[in-house]
Amino acid sequence: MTSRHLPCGTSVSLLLAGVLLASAPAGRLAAQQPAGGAAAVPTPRGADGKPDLNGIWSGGGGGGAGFAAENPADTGNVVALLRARAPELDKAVPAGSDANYAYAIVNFERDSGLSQRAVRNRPLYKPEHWQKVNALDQNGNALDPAFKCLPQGVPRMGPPQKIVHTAKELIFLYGLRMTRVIPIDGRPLPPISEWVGLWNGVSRGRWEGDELVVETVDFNDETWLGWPGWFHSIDMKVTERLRRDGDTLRWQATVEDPVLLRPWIVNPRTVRLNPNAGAELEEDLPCFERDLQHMVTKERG
Amino acid sequence: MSLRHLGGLVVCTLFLGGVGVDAHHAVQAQFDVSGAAVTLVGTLKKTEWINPHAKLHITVKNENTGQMEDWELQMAAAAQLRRNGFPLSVRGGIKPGDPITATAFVARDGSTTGLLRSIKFPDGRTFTRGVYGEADLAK
Repeated sequence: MTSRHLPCGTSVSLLLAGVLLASAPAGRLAAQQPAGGAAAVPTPRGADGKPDLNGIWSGGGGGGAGFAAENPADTGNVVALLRARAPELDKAVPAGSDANYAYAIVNFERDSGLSQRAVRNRPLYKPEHWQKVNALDQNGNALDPAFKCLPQGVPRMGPPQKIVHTAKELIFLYGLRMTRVIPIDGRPLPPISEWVGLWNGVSRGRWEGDELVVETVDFNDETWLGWPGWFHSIDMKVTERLRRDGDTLRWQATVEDPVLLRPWIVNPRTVRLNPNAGAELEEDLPCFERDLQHMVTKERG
Repeated sequence: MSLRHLGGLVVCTLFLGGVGVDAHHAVQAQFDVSGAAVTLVGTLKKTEWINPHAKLHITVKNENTGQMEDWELQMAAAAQLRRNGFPLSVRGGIKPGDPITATAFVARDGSTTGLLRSIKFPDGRTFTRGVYGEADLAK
């Protein structure tokens, strides 16, 4: 360790403390204060009795594998906060809880890519695909669609930044020049004979009790599941579950794909309702990739 | 790292640590983040409010050649900069032609590009918060 690493480490510690402080209340709220509890914020409901999902939800829009904005006053989500993975953090929370993210360390040092690959929750590929994943990862600066300003897709986008909830459909806005319109009127998913291959697929929503279940098929294979070369096939199926409790919204996605040994459960995310009723979404800026031409190595992270 | 472009305008400044996050590329592959930041003194040419990074263009005189050079400095995402209070040029903040002093990690390919670390505005304020995606940890 060089002397330069000392202040970096200090900063990581400070940041970790901040992450813990920022993320712990949301996790406890979801886990210990269900809607209807004495201290809970009531869950508003629509005419059909289902939870009202309308609102701007802080923390959506990008980096579904681990990034999340925590400031409920944020109106945009282009920001990606450092979510450092620390073994002590993993041990401090029960497995499967919202706080149990597999955070990645981004430290701008030469080993940053290695650190980011050391996430605990990763999709398990069938052996015949391991070489491909590795090759994509090693050349990720040039090949990662997110780095090329292409859509991150589902589920990498994470939870939506804003939801417009009507009786028959949900509109998810992501702040990444991406919008999904999801019917909740009972229509079925299209049969495979009608698939065309889409960036965000075709989605259908339905309620299971108070939980919204969104199933999506008909993807292309251009997007990745995550930073370390995690590709998927056109046969992927993604099932997202959204549950509102008071002013929090819990999002979780499960990826089923023939290239995987078993379904991959994406780290759950709990986002919070923007308390500012007058909050507006920021403009989605155009994206231009001009950095790759200046890169002299394949280092990542 | 090549400093030949910078001539007498360079003042090396060592930043002690500072952990950042970037929503986009591996800056290690592009900038000499392990080295010292350099100081660029010039005038603002333009700002680009685009993703994945906002860009700041500064016109700097190369003391060795006498030529004016355009330095393109990579910043954080525009939305993050706005939240952190970065003034928009069109709203009475910085505007083209204003004198600017910036510190940056320079590109490893020798081009006149850099990763912005801090910027000093004409009124004397220095902005460091989240200029390339980090929280205000370097202070």
